[in-house]
Amino acid sequence: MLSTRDVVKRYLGKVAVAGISFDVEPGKIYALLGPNGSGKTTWMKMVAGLIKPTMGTITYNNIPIGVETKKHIAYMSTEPFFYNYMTVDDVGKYYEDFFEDFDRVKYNEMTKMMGLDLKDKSKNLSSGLAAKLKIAATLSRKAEVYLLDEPLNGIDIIAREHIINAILEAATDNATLIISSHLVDELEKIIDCAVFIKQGNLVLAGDAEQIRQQNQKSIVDLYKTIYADMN
Amino acid sequence: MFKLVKYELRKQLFSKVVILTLLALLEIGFLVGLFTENNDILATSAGLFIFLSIVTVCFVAFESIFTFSNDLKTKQSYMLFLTPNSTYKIVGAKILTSMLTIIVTAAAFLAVILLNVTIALAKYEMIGDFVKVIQEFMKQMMNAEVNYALVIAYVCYIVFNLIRILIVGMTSITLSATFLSNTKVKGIVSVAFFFGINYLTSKLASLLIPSLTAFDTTPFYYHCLWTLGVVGVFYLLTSFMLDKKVSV
Repeated sequence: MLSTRDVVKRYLGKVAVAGISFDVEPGKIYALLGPNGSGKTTWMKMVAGLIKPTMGTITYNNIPIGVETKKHIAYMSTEPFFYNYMTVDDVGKYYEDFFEDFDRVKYNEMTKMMGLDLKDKSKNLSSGLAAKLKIAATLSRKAEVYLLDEPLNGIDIIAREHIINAILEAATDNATLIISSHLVDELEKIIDCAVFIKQGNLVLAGDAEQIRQQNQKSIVDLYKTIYADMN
Repeated sequence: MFKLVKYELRKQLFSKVVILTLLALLEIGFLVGLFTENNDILATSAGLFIFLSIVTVCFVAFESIFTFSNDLKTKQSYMLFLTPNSTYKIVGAKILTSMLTIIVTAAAFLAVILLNVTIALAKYEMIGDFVKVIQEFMKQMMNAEVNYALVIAYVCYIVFNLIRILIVGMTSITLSATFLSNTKVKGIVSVAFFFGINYLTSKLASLLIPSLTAFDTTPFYYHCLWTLGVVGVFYLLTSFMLDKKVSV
């Protein structure tokens, strides 16, 4: 179980995450919801071990985030992050070298299915193809937790279907998926749980179906209500 | 660690290919000048050898610092910090790669220059006589034994000083990207740290190690050992800062 306790992250006096606590249960798909600047990416980066919390603790199976947890947690950032010299093939080799859970055969299949050529240089890819490459590399790991930050950003409607299918394939009984996205309507169809974050604070978290019943609203409508004052 | 070093080297492969090509072109120029007895080509390539060896070694050190900075301050940092490797391993691989590339580059230029001097001495007796005059002059005036061992010792001294500057540079960048990342004065403080620590380590070296002379190569090797100690201390400091305050 991924556990977040009283986590605060401050940057230059600005509070990105303001003391949030919640647990993520295994084997479920979570939607991490909130507008830009609400703290979703900051929380994901803390779970991925890319930044340290100012205060509070995050543990995975009671182990503090660190080298050991990185073996089981796969993170995909919004921005492209592969080295400029890398081809699609190089990215696969790199992941194979560093992640024991990386499945090279699956990666080759996914990149082919997504229309990527192994010889293509990652820096020359269009934003859509670059997003597909990130997805392919991340989901080709047999990780226990996947953190996908805006996986549908810059993706056309047809490719979105491919990506959502790939996400659903990764969602096995042992795997937990945490997806942040502005495209709430796309996520609503596939999620088990929802976490709403507003200005670094946790507003609402729980089972998606229960949230719908308790509020008599779809997740999309609830999103509009919660963040109505932010535009 | 080996895999990290492999990818560090791969990141800087292009520049190394350019350097090797330049070295090969220069050598061809030198040999053409030597065997066609064209003094203009010979003098130009000999001069370029000296100039480029200094510029290239400095460039390799600068490139290592630039790559390190990129790996902390751009999204490409995720490639390193998402992998299940400790910061000690990541920084260790970076320092090892940087030291290796600087030493190999300097050694390659030095080896080719010494080889060329040997070839030139064999072809032109007058150069040999000229060198003997200089050696005798240095012996009489400064009690200095100018030979290959002294040249190699001087080059080692310069290279290890460059490595010391490099590691302090890496530590300064890390300081700015970690403990000072949330302050407005991170730039000024890290630059002051860089110059201050470089001054301090040089000053300490001058107090602890006998001064360099042109007749005894032993102090050069003490300086190399001192540099390795400095590298060790700053490696631990850099890794510790990243471990405690990683923010990429």
